[in-house]
Amino acid sequence: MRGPVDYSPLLTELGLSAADAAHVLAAAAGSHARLAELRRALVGAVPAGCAAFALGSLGRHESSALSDLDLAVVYRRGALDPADAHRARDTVAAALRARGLDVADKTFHSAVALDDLLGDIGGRDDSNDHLTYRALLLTEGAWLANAADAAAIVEQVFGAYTAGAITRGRYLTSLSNDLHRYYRTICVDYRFKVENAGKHWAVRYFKLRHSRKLWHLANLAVFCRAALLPDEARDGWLAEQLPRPPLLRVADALRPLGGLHLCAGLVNAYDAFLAALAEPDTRRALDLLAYDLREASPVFRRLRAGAERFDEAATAVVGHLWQRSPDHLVRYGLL
Amino acid sequence: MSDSTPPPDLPLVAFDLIGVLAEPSWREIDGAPDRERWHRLRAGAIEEADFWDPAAAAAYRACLRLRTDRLALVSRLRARGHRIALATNFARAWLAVVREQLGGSGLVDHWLCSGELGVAKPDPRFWSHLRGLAPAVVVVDDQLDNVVAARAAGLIGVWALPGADLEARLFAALAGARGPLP
Repeated sequence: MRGPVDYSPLLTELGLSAADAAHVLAAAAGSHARLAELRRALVGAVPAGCAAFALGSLGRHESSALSDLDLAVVYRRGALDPADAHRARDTVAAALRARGLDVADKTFHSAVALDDLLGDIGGRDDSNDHLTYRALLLTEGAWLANAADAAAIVEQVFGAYTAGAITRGRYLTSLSNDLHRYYRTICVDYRFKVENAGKHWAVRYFKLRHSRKLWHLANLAVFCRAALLPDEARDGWLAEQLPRPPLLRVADALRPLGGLHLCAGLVNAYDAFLAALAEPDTRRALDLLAYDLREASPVFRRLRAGAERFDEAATAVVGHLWQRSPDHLVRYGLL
Repeated sequence: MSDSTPPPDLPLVAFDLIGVLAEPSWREIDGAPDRERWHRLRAGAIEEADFWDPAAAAAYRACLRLRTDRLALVSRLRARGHRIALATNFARAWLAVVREQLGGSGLVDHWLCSGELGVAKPDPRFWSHLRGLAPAVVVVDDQLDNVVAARAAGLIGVWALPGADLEARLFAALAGARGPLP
């Protein structure tokens, strides 16, 4: 996305007002402003052959002031010494923290070589971390430093799938399978983080039921739509669509399939979710919520009701895809 | 004709700048981009000082970088004998940064900048400047509107989408323009 995400044409098409999507709009405007500010602050922070990205909600243009920042620094081995790349990652992380941002040191704790991300897709050395980088760089990676290298890196990630002479698949299922795999991985990752690593469960649970699920739905919808395009147009359309925010991806997929109206329910339910995540009191309540006491929590019940509305809207979208692109949805999305 | 002399009828290849040869767009570092003001700047109707503040101007110059992978593609085209044009909607004040990064490479034969021409893509008057440079022109642009407009003006358009294999599609277009490549 070059500039701020513009939802207004979609809202008009859906007959919704700006007030109906106030938090979607606020997150988009705030995310763009934050990205622009950070890019200016990080000028020259990484050397050539290396790029810094914001992944997660900021990369999707759905962040709030309370969102943390998933920083990814990717470099080309051969163009840059690994030690220099790791130093660059530390420099960027320190600069972001100095501006008050919560930069997590988890999956993205050190710089990663592009060669490692692409050299063993599906092999025994292909880790969850590598899968995470690939999936997020393609679908929610916003550059923070060195835009020129960032663009080339994302293209190379996409090209790793299109270049598979035997395995790419007519519908680029080598990529859709990897994206589906990532979605299932984070669903299972929730189990480990909560049961084994003692992490808070509630925020993760509601992210799985909203933002993660919308991300997956957007991928399903985009690939179902792409399957109906002429072969020569498919890769380009996918490359154009995948970096767009999930709500817009679903809309762009459903519009030519006669199902655009189904996006209204998604927008409404998702707006309520973003509103909740932008409220400090709600975040705090979720962070403190014991699993056994969840039914007594008004915050939990409100968010769960929202998740159920989101499920209804998402189910309607899948039902439409089932009617309009059944072959692809069944053969490649399910089986 | 010797082996080292390129055929004179090779198409001119005209590259868009931002999104094709260089990054980023000014909009990516401007927290509240003003498209209307941009349309005036890119057509040379206002100066950069009327567009944004000095800090933003300095930051953009510091961010603006040519893509090494795309410069390698341009070099390969030149090695085949193609002349190269830069055909960009861009502020004239920013061109110096690009020229400086290209240094004495001599990669670009013709510079067509909307801020200098006073007209921007996809306006047909922009393409007429390109048409005057060679009998056959291949336009490489990341904006579909520009590709469509270039084709309507009688040029060959190649859509440079991120991730799609630009080099293969460009060479296919060049082959279609004049038969098999040397």
